Amino acid sequence: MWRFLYANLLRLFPPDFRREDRAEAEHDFTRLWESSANTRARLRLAGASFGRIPWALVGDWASWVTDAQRRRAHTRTGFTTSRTSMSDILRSIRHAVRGLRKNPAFSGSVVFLMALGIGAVTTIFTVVDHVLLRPQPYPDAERLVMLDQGSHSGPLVREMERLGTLDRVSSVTATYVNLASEAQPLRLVQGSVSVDFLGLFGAIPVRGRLLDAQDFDGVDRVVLSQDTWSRIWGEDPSIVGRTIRVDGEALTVVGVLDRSFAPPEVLTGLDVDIWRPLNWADPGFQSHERWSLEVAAVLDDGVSVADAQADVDALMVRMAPVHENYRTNEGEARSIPVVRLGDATVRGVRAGLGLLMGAVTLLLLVACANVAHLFMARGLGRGRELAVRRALGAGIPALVGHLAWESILLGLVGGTGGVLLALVGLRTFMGLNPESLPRAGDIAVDPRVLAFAGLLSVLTALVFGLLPALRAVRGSPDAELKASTRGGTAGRGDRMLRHGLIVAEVALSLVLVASASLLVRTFIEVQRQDPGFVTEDLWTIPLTPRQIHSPDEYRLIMDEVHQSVSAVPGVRSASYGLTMPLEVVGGGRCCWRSSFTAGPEGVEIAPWIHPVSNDFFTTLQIQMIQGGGWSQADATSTPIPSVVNEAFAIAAFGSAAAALNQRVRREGEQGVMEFSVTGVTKNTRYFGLDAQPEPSLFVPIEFLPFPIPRSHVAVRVAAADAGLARRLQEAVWAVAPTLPAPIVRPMEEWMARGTARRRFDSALFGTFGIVALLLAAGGLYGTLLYMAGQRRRELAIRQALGASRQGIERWMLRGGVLVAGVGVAVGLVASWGASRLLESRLWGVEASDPVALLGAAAALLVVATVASWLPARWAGRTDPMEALQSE
Amino acid sequence: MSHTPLAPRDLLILAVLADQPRHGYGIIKAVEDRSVHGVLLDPANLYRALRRMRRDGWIEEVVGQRTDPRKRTFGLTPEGRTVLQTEVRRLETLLATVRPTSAPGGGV
Repeated sequence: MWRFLYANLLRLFPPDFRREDRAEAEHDFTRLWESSANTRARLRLAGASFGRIPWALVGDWASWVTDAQRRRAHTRTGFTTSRTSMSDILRSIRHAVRGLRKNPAFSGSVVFLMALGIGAVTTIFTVVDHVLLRPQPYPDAERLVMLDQGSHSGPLVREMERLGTLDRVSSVTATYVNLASEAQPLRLVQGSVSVDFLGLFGAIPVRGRLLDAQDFDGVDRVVLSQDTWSRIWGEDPSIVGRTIRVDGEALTVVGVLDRSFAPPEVLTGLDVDIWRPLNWADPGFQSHERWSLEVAAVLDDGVSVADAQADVDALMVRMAPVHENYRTNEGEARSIPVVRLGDATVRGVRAGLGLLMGAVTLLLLVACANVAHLFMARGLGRGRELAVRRALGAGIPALVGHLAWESILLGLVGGTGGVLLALVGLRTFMGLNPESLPRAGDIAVDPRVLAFAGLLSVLTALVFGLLPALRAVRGSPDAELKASTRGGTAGRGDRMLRHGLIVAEVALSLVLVASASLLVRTFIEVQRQDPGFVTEDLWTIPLTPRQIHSPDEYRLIMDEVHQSVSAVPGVRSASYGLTMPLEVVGGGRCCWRSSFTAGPEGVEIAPWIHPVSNDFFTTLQIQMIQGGGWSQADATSTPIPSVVNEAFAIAAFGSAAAALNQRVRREGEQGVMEFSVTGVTKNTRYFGLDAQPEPSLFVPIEFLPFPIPRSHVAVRVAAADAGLARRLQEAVWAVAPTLPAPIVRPMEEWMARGTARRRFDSALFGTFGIVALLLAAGGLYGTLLYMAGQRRRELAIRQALGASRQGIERWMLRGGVLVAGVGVAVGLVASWGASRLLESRLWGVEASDPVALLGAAAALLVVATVASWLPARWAGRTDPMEALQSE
Repeated sequence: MSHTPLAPRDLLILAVLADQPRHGYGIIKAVEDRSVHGVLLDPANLYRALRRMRRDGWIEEVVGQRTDPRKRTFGLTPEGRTVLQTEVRRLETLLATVRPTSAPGGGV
């Protein structure tokens, strides 16, 4: 990290340094770093290297500007006014640098606070800018639209292609496929696309060519992504023309796409490895029942979204009589919204990013309030210095200019620190990528972001630095000089301003702390949920068996895998099913749901159907409340044995006990199917710890009516060891050599993936909350200490007049806590409002949760009390004689 | 000479370059070894100092000695040597002035 920081810091130097010296300096730093024997040596190196850079930067840029001026002056004749004003400015800058270096505690604190605030805001702004603000990197990005509302059927897409308002209508569907031509079976994502798709999103081939119309005749051509080409074939230049085996088919590689090709994830859903022509002849794409294609298009010239929408609506009216899938339950034509692709891409993350931007802005404001305190304190302390200067003839503009340069310099150095912090912050943020942000691949700090950070630094420095400092300039120098001989007490207006800042700071911090406590409580609440099965020592292997043409074939291969895996040393039992709990969180498109009638009264119910092998319940250790599972022999008997969960039992039959031995019926294309309930299980959290259990029906895998290219094996092990994952993989390949098994994962990892976003939320807001709390405490402490110093004389007189030490302490303490109390009151109201914004991210906790809000308020009050008590104690210890004599 | 007194770091850099031409990393290491308290030069400021000295004509890039094509090697110019000698002489005179003259074993 340090080397990364240093390298970036070096880029900030003027061009001549960057051109000639930067590479060597970076190289030397790396060598020094690597040759440092221990942490102490490294700390020393970091201290020496980083500590001296800010001033070196200012100095170098100043002389670079002077040189540039001089160079320009040489090329002209005569004097120019700009030259003199420029050297004036340079003199002011040098002057300001000198002043700031003389007061390192002040400069350091301001720079630190600014860096913290600017760093946080810049990090999030970079993400927001890339994800939300920039135009999409596609030709015709402004005219790209998506036909929304999920996927579409093949025949519907063919009709859409004929619409007059839409041009280059393109469709895509992504699936897992198995690549068998290499040393080990590999799982790839295949995107099947219509002919215009690649061109629509600006694909450029680095090898060979894109797909053309002829490729759609035989559909045996394929284009690779650059990453796939380099990962699997090591960028082998002879790849074009080679044949690869995908799902048993021989495909010819015709091209490799440039790395920059990134169609919107909202269309593909997955990171696509290989691109193939869509096989329109496939019965699946000719059926009205299979809806699997995502569709994008370009609005024709001069066509608005509303025009296209009218066109699509008319199409749906024409389609409605063709098949029931094009009608709503009420029999009307279904509507398909036409939305701009840019909006569709980011709609899921807009709110979340907005929230983060809000949070970091609060943090910046808290940091800036502290900066304002510091400048005010310094301004008061320098009142006499400035007054003397004015008395000696310095005009107000000159003094203001001087103060402004100080603020701007500190702002720029702080902003530089902020940008460096943002580089680190951004790396961490993107490493977590909690929201799976779209368009996240190319996020980096670039000139746009630098300009933003620079502007923000200068602006905040002027507002929070110059304005408070200016208070010291106004008023007549006479009064200031006279007042200072009396040992200045701060004026009433000044005290009000300070108190106002503290109130604002405490209130803003409370909003952050309260948000953090709500999110942390949510996370804890989710973690506390009982998944309904034993997650320890449970490992799972998701598989994609393809080239299977019947349910029997599917079972045959999966039974072999099942047996082979069961025989692995250390495995106590194994099971498989279409899916496993917590594999797909938040619903998704994975699972199978259908309508049933239950019991003699024929209660309508639409449970999730989970086909599983009969050892599913014992392997996962799901508790049976009533009855039990089925034996292998019973699996194919009629009525089909089945197990329901408690939610199903209660919804259909009123209680778990009443469900036992009841019948459940389903009427479908395969005729009437009858199931008998042999057991009732406790509810499991199938789609995430934070998803309420829904009615579920577990049926024998033997019942699976059609082959589905997915399966998920679970094994219960005695104890996991390092080689377990590999042994399980090899057990799969021993019986199914072409079946990829890229993922072998303990259940805890599936759980962690499901709660990653909430973990991120609570960690990020928790950090913000703690930082804000410390900043508020620091602000309060510093201000009170400073005010106690200012009022030393007043305190001494009070003591001389008989006030006790405890009395003075109590009086000071009361003052601090009172101001903080007002801040907390304001903050509570603000938090109550702000928590509504968090509502969609909370679970199991109310937005107005009193424990979280009052707890946060109490935490702030406790911290504020400590922060006030320390200066109060100092004030109480003032020796009155010493204080009065020192004047 | 108007450049004297030299900043301590500049003096150290000139001193280690007087032994032999070196590249940047070599200078940092040599200064660290040579100074009693292990002065640690930071790379950014070292290259700034080297740039200034080159501009003033105290040092120059020594060609034909590159072991690594990316690393420049620097050596003293006659003028740089003069500056160093002037400064050393100035310091010696200074020391001689402040050192007690007749105190065996009682040096500073």
